[in-house]
Amino acid sequence: MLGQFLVHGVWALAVGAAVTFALGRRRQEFLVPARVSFALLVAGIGVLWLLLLGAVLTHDFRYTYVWGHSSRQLPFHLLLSSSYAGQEGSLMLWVFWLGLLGIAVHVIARRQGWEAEMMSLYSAVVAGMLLLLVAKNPFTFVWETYAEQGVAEGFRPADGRGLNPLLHNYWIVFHPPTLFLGFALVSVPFVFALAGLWRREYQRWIVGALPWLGIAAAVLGGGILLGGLWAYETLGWGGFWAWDPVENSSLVPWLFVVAALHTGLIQRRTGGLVRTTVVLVVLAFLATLYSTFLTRSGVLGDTSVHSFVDPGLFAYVLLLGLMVAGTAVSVGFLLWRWRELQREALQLSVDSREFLLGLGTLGLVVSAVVVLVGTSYPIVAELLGRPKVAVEQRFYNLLHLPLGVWILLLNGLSLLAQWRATPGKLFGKRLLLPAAIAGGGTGLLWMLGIRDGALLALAATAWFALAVNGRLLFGGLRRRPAALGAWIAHTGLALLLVGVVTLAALSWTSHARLPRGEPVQLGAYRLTYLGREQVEREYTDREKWRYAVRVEHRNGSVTIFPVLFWSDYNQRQSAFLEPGIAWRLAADFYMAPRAVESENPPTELVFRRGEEAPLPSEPLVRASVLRFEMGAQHGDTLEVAVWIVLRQPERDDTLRLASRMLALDRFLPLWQPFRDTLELALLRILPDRRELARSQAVLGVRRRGTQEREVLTVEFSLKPGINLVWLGGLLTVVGLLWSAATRLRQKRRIVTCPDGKYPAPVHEAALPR
Amino acid sequence: MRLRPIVIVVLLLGVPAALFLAQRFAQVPEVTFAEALRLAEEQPSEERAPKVMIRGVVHALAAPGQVSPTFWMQDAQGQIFAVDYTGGEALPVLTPGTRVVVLGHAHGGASPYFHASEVRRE
Repeated sequence: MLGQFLVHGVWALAVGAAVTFALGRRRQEFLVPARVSFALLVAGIGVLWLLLLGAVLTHDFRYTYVWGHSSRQLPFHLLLSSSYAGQEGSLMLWVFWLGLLGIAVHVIARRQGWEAEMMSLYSAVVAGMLLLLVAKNPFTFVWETYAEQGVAEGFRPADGRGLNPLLHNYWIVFHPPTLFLGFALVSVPFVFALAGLWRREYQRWIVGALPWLGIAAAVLGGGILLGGLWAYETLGWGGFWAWDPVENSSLVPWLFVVAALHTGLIQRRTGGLVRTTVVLVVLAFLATLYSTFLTRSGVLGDTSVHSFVDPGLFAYVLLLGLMVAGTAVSVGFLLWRWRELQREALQLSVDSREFLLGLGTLGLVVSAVVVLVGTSYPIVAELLGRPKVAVEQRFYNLLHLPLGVWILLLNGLSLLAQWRATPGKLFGKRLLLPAAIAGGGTGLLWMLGIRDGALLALAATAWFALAVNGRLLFGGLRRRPAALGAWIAHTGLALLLVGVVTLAALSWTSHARLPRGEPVQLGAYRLTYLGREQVEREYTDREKWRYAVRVEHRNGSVTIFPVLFWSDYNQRQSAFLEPGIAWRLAADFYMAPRAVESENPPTELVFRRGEEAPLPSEPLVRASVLRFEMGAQHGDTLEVAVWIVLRQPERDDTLRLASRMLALDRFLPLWQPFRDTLELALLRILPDRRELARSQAVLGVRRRGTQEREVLTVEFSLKPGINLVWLGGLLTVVGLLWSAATRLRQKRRIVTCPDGKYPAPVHEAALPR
Repeated sequence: MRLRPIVIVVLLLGVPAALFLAQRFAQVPEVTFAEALRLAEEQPSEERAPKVMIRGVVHALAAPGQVSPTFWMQDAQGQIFAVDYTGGEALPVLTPGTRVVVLGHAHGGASPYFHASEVRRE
């Protein structure tokens, strides 16, 4: 009950803080209660988080959220992760990050002298997110959720439903917290931008916002990268990137943030592109709201590999309202100050760095628009009365090939150019080496067998950007460590795209049926299915099998372990699959299990007591079940048996067929010879829970000497270049963090200058040539 | 040179072009029930089976008071299968023999059925 009330109370505090900070803009006396409200708000959010964590860790299944997303079987790291695995929990995590960041934002806002405006806006953002938590309260009790089903008040289920098996991966510990921290961080530059408009300080805001744009880009990018790693290790999510709505939802804000980071740099340098930068920062924030709406309102239905739960009408309306309100407030602020933002349009020389940087940024914006259009298409289609279908991945790939070329080419060119203008001769001289490296790198890929023109064009520009940034990076290591961040990030992006091209063009996939113990040649690889073992036996809610496949190749051999498992989570209706991956430097071996079947399976006969049927291949022999028998316990297995009567023309035989029942209703049949030709066994028992006497026995009949053999069908792939993707992603994140840290240090120097004022925007005339 | 005209031209041309292409790349494949089942079984979890479209005729309606399945349908291959409709719109009036198009995905297992999110009369 405390949690439910506290959610409402904390929301009221956020609203109170937003209003009192706004009033404090004109009357200082309002600032004291505003600060108290905000401090209580942050403390309240902390308490809410601890309450939820406590409920999860102590298995308090009275809460619907805890019951629905955790269980006693979960290991500690997954139990911890279940606190944000569901909608309510992930919203709570987002709010938690907002609360924690709020402390830093408050310090900065006070130092900058923008406390009233920034904190009013920030509190409003927190209030908006908390409103969602009011609608999707994680502290709702099971008897409230299932009141119609007659669940009694105070009922505490003995165990929870558990965590979706697809989420049983260590990446769940890192990916969602990083991603939601990224989402929370996007609101900081947004608050800077609107506060700048509010205060009519159209240049100063970007000084404060730039490091936060860098941090947001780094953290959000890191979250996306971790998600990619997770998706790579999970079958059915389409590899490390599948243009899925949930993936796209995090990519769009990231693209806008990175675009704003670049136009912000131009603004700091030239004083221009103010409106563009404000609009991009606002778009980045609105994109996080829109993403929340898309992925939590249920509007995308079954158009994603991620499951979307219909949150109910109230939450749907709230989500829609929040998005509309966020847009209205942002647009309102922009319109309010639009005329004042109008200044003489920046005239840029086409050979200046700022012009080329601007064009490159336009590529990022177009990419964001393309992803937005593609992701939103199912909604547009529904509005037009067409089938609500997600667009194919080909749509994104087709459009991002030229966009990638555009962005990488302009990245390289902009770094070769100087601010304001670049003498042609100097530009030509600087261009020579990177162009030669691009040609050489592309030639190498051609020799490796890539013939696709579009991919080669992308590779050429990636090599070009790599060469330009790599050269700057090594040259700048001693001279300009402050500028290293950008070059590291660009190098990372270029490497990532070289990896994507290599992967797209040189990946190789083949299917193979692998009879146990029998080597199968697959191209240059020899695959042998060695056997399987049951893993995680300590958990009774799942049956998990690890299959060992040896892959022999020119340089040695490696054993890969794909996994197949069944879970109580879906009543064991269908298997969950995990790929086996051999992480290798040049190219990963990636093995997806597809099926496990038996070669020479026995013929199955299903009987109830009293029923009779002829034996296959021995039609004169009729079998019937006499009785069932629960046998002796052998360690952790139980022997069950069925007595059968075999009626033959000359005489009747009575046979006891036994089977060892392992955990989770798995049977190990013990084959019994019958005559010279046949073997019989009890394969399993199909119990009738209402009337045990009507349970069915499944008998197996096979020819003597026939060996049943397990056959594993796999999809075996070679993934060249995948490590370039990871390395590139990592470098991009590190570069962005470095860049943000550098700007934070620079900003601190400016903030603490004696008169407490920022320098005027740098004008063109003052720019060094 | 000013960046603004370039930005405006690119966005004015780019957004409609992206929408047009999105529409081109968002076609629902038309399949039979057997193919829908195969597609569903290729996925690790049936809930994430790709959306498909099946054309056919209503074979029989649910008995009065029966909630699930909604009706039985016969596809072009002559296979009869159960259709469970859970879409937001009210179902059109159906009678045995009505030609319909269903959109959704198949569920395999012991009792395979088609989980429809849209049912339209042809």
